[in-house]
Amino acid sequence: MTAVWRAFAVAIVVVTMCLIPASLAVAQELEIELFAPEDGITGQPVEIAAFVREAGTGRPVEGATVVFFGDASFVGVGGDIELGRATTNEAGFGILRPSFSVSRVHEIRVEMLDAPEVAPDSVSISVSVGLQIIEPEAGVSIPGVGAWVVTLVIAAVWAIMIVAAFGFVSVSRSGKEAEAADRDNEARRHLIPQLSIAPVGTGIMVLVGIGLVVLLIRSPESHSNLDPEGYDRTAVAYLEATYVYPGPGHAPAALTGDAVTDGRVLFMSYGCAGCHGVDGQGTSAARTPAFATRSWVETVVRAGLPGGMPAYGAGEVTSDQLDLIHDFLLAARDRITALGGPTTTPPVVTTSVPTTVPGEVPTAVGFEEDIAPLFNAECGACHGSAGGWSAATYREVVESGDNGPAVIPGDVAESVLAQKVSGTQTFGAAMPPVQQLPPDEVALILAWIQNGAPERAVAGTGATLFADRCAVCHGAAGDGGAAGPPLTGPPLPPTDIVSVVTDGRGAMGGFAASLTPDEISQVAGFVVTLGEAVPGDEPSLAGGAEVFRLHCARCHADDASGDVGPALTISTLTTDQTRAVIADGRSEMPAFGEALSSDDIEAVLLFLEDRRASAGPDLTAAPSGTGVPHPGSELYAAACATCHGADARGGVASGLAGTALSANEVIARVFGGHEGGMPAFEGVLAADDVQNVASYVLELEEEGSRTGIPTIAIFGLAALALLLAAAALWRTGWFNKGGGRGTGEPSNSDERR
Amino acid sequence: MEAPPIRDDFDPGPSPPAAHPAINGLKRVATVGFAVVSAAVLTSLGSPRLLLALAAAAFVIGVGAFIRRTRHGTLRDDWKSRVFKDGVSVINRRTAIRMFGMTALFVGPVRVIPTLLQDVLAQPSEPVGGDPVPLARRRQWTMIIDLRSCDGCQSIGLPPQCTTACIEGHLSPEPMQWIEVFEEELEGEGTRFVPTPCQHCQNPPCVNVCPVSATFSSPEGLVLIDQERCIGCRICMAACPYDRRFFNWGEPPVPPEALAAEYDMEVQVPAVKGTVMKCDFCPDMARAGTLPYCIQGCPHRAIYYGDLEEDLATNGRELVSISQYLAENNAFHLKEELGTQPRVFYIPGHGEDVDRSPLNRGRLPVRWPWSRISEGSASWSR
Amino acid sequence: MTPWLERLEQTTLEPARTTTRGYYYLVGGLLAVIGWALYAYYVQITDGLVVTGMRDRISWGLYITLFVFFIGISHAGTLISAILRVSNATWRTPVTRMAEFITAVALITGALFVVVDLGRPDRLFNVLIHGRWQSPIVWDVIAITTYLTASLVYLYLPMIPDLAFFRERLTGRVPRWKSWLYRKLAIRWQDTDTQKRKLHVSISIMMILIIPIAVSVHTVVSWIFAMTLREAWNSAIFGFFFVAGAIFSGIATLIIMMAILRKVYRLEEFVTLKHFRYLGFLMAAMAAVMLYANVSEYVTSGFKLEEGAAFIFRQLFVEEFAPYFWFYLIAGLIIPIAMMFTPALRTVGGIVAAAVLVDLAMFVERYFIVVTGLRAPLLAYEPANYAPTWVEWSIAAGGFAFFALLVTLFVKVFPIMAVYEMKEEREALARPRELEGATEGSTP
Repeated sequence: MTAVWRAFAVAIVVVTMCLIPASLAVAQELEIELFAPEDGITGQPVEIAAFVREAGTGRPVEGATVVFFGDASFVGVGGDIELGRATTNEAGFGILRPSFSVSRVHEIRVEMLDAPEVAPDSVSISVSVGLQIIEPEAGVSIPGVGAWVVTLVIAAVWAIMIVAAFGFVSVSRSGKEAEAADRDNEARRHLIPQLSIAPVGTGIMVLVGIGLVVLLIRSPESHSNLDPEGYDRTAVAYLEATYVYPGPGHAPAALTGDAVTDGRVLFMSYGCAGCHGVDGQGTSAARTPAFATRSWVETVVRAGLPGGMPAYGAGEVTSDQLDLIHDFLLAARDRITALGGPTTTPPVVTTSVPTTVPGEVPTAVGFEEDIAPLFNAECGACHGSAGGWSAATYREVVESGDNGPAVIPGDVAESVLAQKVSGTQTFGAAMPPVQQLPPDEVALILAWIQNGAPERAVAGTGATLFADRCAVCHGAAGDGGAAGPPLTGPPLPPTDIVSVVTDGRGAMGGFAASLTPDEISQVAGFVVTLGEAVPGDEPSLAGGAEVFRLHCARCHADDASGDVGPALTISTLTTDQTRAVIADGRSEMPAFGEALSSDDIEAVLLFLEDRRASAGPDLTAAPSGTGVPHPGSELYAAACATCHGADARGGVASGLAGTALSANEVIARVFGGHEGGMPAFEGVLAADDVQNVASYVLELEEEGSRTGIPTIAIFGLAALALLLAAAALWRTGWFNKGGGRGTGEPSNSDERR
Repeated sequence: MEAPPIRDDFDPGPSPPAAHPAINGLKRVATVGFAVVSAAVLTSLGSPRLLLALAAAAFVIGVGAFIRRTRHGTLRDDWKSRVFKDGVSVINRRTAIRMFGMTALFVGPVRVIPTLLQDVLAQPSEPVGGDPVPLARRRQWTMIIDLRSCDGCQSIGLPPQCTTACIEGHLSPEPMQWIEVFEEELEGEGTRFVPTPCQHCQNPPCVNVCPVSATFSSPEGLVLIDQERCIGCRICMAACPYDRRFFNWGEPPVPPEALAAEYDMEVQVPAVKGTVMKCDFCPDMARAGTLPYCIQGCPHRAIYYGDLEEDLATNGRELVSISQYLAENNAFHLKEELGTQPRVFYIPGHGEDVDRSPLNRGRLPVRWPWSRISEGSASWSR
Repeated sequence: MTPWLERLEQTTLEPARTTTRGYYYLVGGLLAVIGWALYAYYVQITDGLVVTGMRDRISWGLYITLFVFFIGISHAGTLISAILRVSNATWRTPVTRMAEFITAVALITGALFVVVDLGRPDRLFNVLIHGRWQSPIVWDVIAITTYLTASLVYLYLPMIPDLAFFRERLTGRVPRWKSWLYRKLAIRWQDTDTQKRKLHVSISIMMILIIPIAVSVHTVVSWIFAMTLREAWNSAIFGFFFVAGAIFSGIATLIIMMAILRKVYRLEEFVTLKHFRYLGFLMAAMAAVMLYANVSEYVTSGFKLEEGAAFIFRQLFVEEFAPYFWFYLIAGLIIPIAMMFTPALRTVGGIVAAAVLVDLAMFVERYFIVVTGLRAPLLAYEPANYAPTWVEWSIAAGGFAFFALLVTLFVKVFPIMAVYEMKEEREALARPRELEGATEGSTP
């Protein structure tokens, strides 16, 4: 009995013992609260404090380290920036004094260092704009020493020199007076011209001296390195809302309208160039995309690739931009070949398309058995999900594809799939884009296609089946026989052949009962091979050139350099626009919509892009300067012009032009008014309106100061006056020790004496 | 200037002083009027400021003359002595011509001044705070180059892509590499690659020495060049301690499309023969809201482009706070000891972040795609 | 009129009166060289500076060297005539005229080489339109213009009486244009007291003023280099160094010029061995100064061997430029001093030989100062190399030819000796008789 109680007591003790740590654990639950002012000013530190306390008791926690984050975005790249860290004091407050540099609403987040389970707290601070924090400085400037020192020195030197040079004048003048005494005065008067070279030479000297002084006066102050005349001082971009970065690649201003150029801009600004090379020639990081079709580009860009190619959503890269990029890639082909071929080639392009399977042909290759796993491993990542050709099911594998059925059973040469995997494609890029399939897998795929791409592996290939089932009527070579028509000639699409074989046609009975669908497809594959190969309709450069020569060259000249029609080598049209023009015509140009098949048009487009590529892209000329009226101008006209005059030259109130108020003073006066009747506009004008007006007024001040004469000019004028005074005084004999034995003296002075 | 010897109308040798005073008076009036008119004609083309200057000059001369004459006899005597010689007026056509000449001589220079002075007076006084738009702060461009992730494009087996991208973007003539990747010997063994654009100094030696301020600092701290003003004296090239300035020694070898472009000193295309060029930090790209070519070309994202004013920089992938990033990574300048205060910062390293061994030397030479089609590119070397 | 004076006047008038055939050959030859140089310059204008040996790494070459060199020898005139005039050294008078004229001509030639070096000579006037007073180049423009004007005035002022003398003697005996020219230039010099006084005032103003100008000119020329951040140039002694070198080469050039004219126009009586010796001693003194300046500079920078200095010293003392440097140091500085200290060599021939050495050495020195400074690599790249092309050499030759041509033409037209001053000096030595001296000149 007592044992029971004892046991019970023990149990209680144990339980409580167990509970205590639990309660402790609960007590150690922490929580953070973030305190910050609602607003601040750029460049001014604001104090933000994180209060860390125990959740249960609310006791402040000392010595905990908290990390503050702020949101940021630059050139379209966004992210969190760590503002700093702080350790909580005994009151539980971790305090940080960051200063924000952008005027917007900042989201501040605080976290416990190495305690992720603690829920972070966040608060927003709206920061309003202050003045420029970092001023660019250029050139050396010694206080008090400026151009005027040099100016005065030079002016003085020249003044002295000219004084000396006036010796010419006075010498010649007094000489004339001496001559006047001579007997043959008359004759000499004509011999010796009145206006001798002395004043002329002196005058030239005066000119040169003045020129140098003026040169010095005009030379800008040291800090005017910042704004030489002729450069639009408008900054490229402003920090506040006046300029928002669209982000990398979204460069509307950089687009010229020339497809290829813009394509390159985008290609580089999206960082494609980083892996694919700036020419799109491909690097060891990624192969060249230059040979990809438009749709393939779209596919890869949207879905990304296992090899590390990131996926870009339609939000990031619009399909128009993809058009441009593709145009650039097409144009890049020539340049790539000029540079010596793709750096990392798609598997070497053999000019002669292999019509037989390389190596040992496995007789029985079936989709389900051999191909499907291979496709799932190698191609499934993109194909099936990302549109275009799908590697998901047998039927899709055989029939889907942007360029018609990817697989033509039994025909390795014409099957796009075969071409792609073996790198013999006539268009687009080899597959897989990042790395080629191992040869045996390629061989497997080729063999599978060669054998008519059967869904399941079966004994016997298309040939054998044909031999013992069809040759009876169609002849062993399929060149027609007793009952059956020849099968050589343009082949039907494999699917038709399959249906014919399955269901029969006319006299021919259906083999549905006697052959499995695989066998039928194999036969179909074989039959296709019987038909002599007709030139494929795939748009090709050569074909394009041919078509162009036939239809377009009459006006545009053979090399598209333009004749009656404009030159097409440098065109601002995108591919789509060009396509439209060809189809629908233009002012003079007839429409070729009916005359040409869409493939022909594509071929012509290829040819044109090729021409453009060789002619090279136009250049991106960046817009410079800003011609827009100042935002503050009309506000000024509305609010201030009444008193200060429309041209700020003053009216009822004093003129603003030429005054040197700082930005802050102007704002202060506009906000709070000023003695002499200037009303306060606080509340009347919105804050940013005031800012605009202020900046406008500052500009007016600057303009006004143009009319005011800067010190340098005064010094210059002083220097000039110095020159002329020296000249005048010398001329009036001021420097004559003899005292006024000068020019105007009654003549014959020397002789009189 | 030279007046041909003219026979005097009114002065046939020594003649009796019987010449009627009225005639002299007329002559006098005529002559003075002539000189005054000539002066007026010369000055009428000028601005008010000119007249002011002229008046000042006249005043000075007048004062001088007055002082002198009051010291030596009355004005009247002097005037007599000037006008009459042996009782005969010497004011005649020649005198008039002489006066005209002298007037022109002294008016001419003064006439030139104000036109030249225009720009002086047009110089704005240093704007307070130097900011015409005080409440929209200007960007202050800067560049951070993280040498830890630069392997001179060894890993991708291409010439440095920053240089290539720059060349393609700016169509810069061969052999100019505005951003050039130098291979520096490290202490101990091995090398590191240092991509070197123009450092955009805040105390730019080139700007300080330029005689015509063809190169100058923009409000955003960029050092730009106006190739339409540059006289090609090349003192800036001598002054630049980073060897980042390049000269168009002949007809610049550029692709044809460059010639089609309209010149802009922010793009420096097309290159102008006989002028200096250099990296401009791509202000045109900044306008377009995107990153400079070199950064976009860099496969390892080793270059950051940023704004000191906003204290943020990005390499196109991630975002860093410049002040923190520089502090935490021991950033340094090239040739700090020169006090040029560059706007380009470097993070020490030798490509370790992209697994480059310092012993792995050498980079591929840069190629100019249009070397074949452009003339004379072969004839330039450094 | 004393026979001495008669001889002096005849000797001075001689060149202006008679012209030998050899003279025309000389002028023709010089013109031919200049023509060739003009063709070379035409090539350079059409093809751009690519035809020169200069490239981005070494962007200055022979042209700038010649610019510095000619501006340097232009200091002959100032020093000899101004300083000697100020110090009232009477022996100067026969040589002042040549010295002053060398100044003017050398300045013009030197300034031309800056224009030749420009990539865009068509924009030369941008310097006047957009000139920045902070730029050493603008300092040069201002200083050189001032110096040129000053030295022309300073050349002309003392020449007025001599021109009057020519006017009186030659009017009618020489082609009309010459008589016209003398009449014009002699601006009615009647040798009256008033004129003498005024002339004296002007001359004394100029002779004081021109000395600081001349010093400033070559100082700012050196600052073109010293204001850069190149290790080889970034030196405070550069200004002094260049001025000293300028005077040094100036004296040498003057000695050579004197020797030639003396031989050609038989001035032996007036330009005597004394003058050569005095100038020779001056030259030796300047050589010592140069030596001192070099030691001072190379020790201060070589002792510390800052970054890049090591390279510069290597290429200067032992590698590419060692021949130039040691030639300059030994043949240009030490040997001339030695020659002046050995009495046996203090003949006209010996002194002229020394002067030739000095001029060569100074040219070489200017050359390696310019090129070594630019050659030192600033970043991790191999130092480039520079060798002038035929275009540069042609234009350089043209420069010297131009210099020689101007001198040749000058001596044909103007009095090559300051007759008036020499006369006055001699009279002063005899006994002061201003009145006669005054009337003598005025009445032909």
